[in-house]
Amino acid sequence: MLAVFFSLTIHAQNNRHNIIRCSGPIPEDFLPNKIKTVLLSNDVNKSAGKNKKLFTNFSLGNNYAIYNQLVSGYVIYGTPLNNYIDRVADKLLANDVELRKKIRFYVFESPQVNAFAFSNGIIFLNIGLFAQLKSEAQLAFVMSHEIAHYKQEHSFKAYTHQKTLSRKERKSFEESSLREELNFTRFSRIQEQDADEIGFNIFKESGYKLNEALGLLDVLSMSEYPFDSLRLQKDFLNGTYLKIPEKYFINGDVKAIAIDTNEIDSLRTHPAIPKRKQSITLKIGDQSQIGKSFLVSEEEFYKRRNECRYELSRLYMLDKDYVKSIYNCYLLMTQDPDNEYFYEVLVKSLYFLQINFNNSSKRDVVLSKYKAAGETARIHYMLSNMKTEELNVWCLRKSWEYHTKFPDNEEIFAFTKKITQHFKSEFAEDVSYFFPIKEYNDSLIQSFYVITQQEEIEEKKKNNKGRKSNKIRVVNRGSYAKYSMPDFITQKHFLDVYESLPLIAITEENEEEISPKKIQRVTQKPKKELDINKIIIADLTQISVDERKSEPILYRAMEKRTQLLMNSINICAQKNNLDVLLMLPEATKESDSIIFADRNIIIKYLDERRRYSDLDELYGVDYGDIKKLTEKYQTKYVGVIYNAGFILKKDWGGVAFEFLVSFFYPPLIPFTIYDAVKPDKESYLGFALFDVSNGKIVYIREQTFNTDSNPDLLKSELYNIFLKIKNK
Amino acid sequence: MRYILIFVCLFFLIEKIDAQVPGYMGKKMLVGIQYDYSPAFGSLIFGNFGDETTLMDLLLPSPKLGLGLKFVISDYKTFDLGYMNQTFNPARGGVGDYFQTADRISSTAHTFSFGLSRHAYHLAPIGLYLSQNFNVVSISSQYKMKGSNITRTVPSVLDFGYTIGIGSRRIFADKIAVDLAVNFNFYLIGFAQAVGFVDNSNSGISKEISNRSLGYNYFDNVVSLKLGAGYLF
Repeated sequence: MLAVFFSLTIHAQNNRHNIIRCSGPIPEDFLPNKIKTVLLSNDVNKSAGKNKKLFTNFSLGNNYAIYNQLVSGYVIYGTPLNNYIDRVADKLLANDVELRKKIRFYVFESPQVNAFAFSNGIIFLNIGLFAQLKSEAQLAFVMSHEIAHYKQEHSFKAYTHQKTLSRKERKSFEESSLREELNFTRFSRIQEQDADEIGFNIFKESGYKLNEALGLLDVLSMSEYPFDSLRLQKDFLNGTYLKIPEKYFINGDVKAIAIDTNEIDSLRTHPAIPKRKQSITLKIGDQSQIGKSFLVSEEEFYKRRNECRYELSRLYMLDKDYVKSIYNCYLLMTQDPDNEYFYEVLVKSLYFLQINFNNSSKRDVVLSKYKAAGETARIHYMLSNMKTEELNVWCLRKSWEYHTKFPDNEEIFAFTKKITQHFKSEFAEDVSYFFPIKEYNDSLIQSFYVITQQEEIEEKKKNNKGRKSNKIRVVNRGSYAKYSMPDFITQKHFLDVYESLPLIAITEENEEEISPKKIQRVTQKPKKELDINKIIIADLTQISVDERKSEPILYRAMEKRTQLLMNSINICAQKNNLDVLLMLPEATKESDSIIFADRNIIIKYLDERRRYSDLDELYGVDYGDIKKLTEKYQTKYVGVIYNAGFILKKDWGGVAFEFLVSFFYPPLIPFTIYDAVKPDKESYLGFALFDVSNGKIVYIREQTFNTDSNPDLLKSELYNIFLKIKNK
Repeated sequence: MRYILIFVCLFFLIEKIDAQVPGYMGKKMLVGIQYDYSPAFGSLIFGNFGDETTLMDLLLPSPKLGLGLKFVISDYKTFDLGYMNQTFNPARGGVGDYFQTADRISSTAHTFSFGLSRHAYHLAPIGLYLSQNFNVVSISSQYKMKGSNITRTVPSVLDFGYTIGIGSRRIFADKIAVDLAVNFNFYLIGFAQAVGFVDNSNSGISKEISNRSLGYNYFDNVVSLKLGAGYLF
């Protein structure tokens, strides 16, 4: 705890947390040509022999998958955190310089407590993992575990194992899928044990305290929960004039956190933690206190970990876990209460909760009281009791409080306005919805939620009739909602903003589901003329599949096709006089480091937008940065392109029928032969243009062709797309 | 003429015309040459395939060459105009009374066509398409009697036809279009001649040459493979 306090006070000196972003030159791994060709040839050369074909397939697939991960926008390089991890790696592999050269560590933006090792020596460490660690030695043990995976070529072994399994599967048709699954997980567990063992040896040689390995396993057993379990105070959730009813809170203790003590590991990929602990304890023997917990820098460790903990609030939001995000803010705010960053995160979490509630997807973000454990259960319980209207008012109240606290923060204000706009569109077109201050009475509001004795008896009777449970529901005779904003409705600023916000237009597709009253609000018709001069293309997904083959994905064809698409985009843009900035990893050069880092922000936003595909618009977690980028690149329009080419399995039934017909009418024979010989092809080209300032889809076009996506077809389609965007 | 063309376009236009007509990368007009190939069914079936003719005569008949113009009128449609020319001998190795004394018979068919191509995707003029055309063919013939140096001209005859075809077009270097299609043609008078509705006996040499040329034209166009190459504007 002292260490936590120490680290928090260091950080508290800075007013605002700076989000961890890639900086500096782009590492070689991220450059398109190097990863795909160089690594492949090395791998193939290394394994020249009877497994060559298998290894080629593995390398192609693996390099493609790694490259996709690297350019997903979630991988961070060039930060002090990366630097610190590299220094720890230097310590770990001080005795094996050759191995150190082969291994590259990157930070992965994910709140999950996890790390990954890839076959080409790239290792990802999640921010969520770093945030939970207690010491540098624990970090070192995780790293050595992942290094062992690389050293032992576990990915390739798992791949070949899978291949043999599938062959076996073909032979023994009757074997159940569960048995196969068990077989695979058992194989994976063996590898994990192997990695623990070899990793421990690396760890042991480095001079870190051996006992910390056991500490790490404790951390892993709690990986589902936030990094601390401070009791959540109601005041954090309540607001001035907004008293959330007592009935909505868990007043006693929350459900205890279930620590993973289960020793049965038959369906896990990793062995059960007690088992791992047992084997490591045996290895440690009586040397548990030998070594140091910190070899590089203790101060640096806490500084970096704290950075990660601050990041967690943001990352939980990206993971759609808004409750954890709020609680994480709460934990950190106990030490650093006035940090603007937390208020930004909180207002965003409120916005996301509001849109989920209003969109009837409450269950996606709130756990039932049976599932929730730990301190976050208090927030889950409160939210599960809240009605949509009540939640909206809670979000409105809190967001306006945050805005009042930081009136100059544009991001907080933007989200506050959005929350207000949603509230206005859903519940109250006019502020007269709210009661003035003279009608506010704390006891009156609480009385809405208190059940009288008579009601309680009646409720029990009612419940006993139908069901055996004697559970009492929370009875709402009224709501705090209308009493929650008495102070704001007298403020000019609030009234001005409320008045000025337009109602959210409802798209024509949803008209059937909404009330006639709301249909009248549909005033904003989609604009036909786009008249856009500049767009950014940030994502180009290309896939080529040959369904007839056992290795259906054609990696080399995909690379060629991507090049072709990029050339076609440039030609078509030029012809349409449209300024297109290709912000694609495939077009990245070493000198494009700033564009590449900017792309990461955009691509993450698009990923976030994809998770809310049913919404018309969405403000992203990185709203502020996106806004800056739109100003920097002088466009708010970002396009994504999907291109897929399929060679389908032959429909021999159809061919047989054609032969039958041509038997009676011989002139058709040549056509039938042509049909029988020609492979059946299908291709798809999709384009979507987003306005990233608000997430609206400006233009979307999808086409499926039952032919190969040949260059002229692609060009013609792209030209038409750009023509519509430009609208000359 | 312009109004007739517009009328024809509208007549065939089942779908509404898009306000924006993209064509291929903004290019809407395609002008090129075309070559129609079909085995010499006319010679074979019409009964004047003599003893001296070889298999190559059947496989490589006199060439049909012409010009084509295509104009994109909507996302899915092109308006097609075409002209084809073929010179052939409608009675080689003749069997009729007159032809035993006739020498060097030569017929020239001028085929004018107009119609629409319906493309599988909205990417006219490229990709897969189905076409339908109305044809007007004018056949003029000349002949020279044995032992005479005087060439006589047979008055031109007209025939009307309808063509449906399936084809595919690709573009190279953003300018050159290459076309491959299979056409099925039906000629009205030629059909009557081919099935023997018209009695050629004692109708005079000019009349018989005309009739035979119409029949020949019918058979030679029943199925044809079209190769085209054009330039996009």
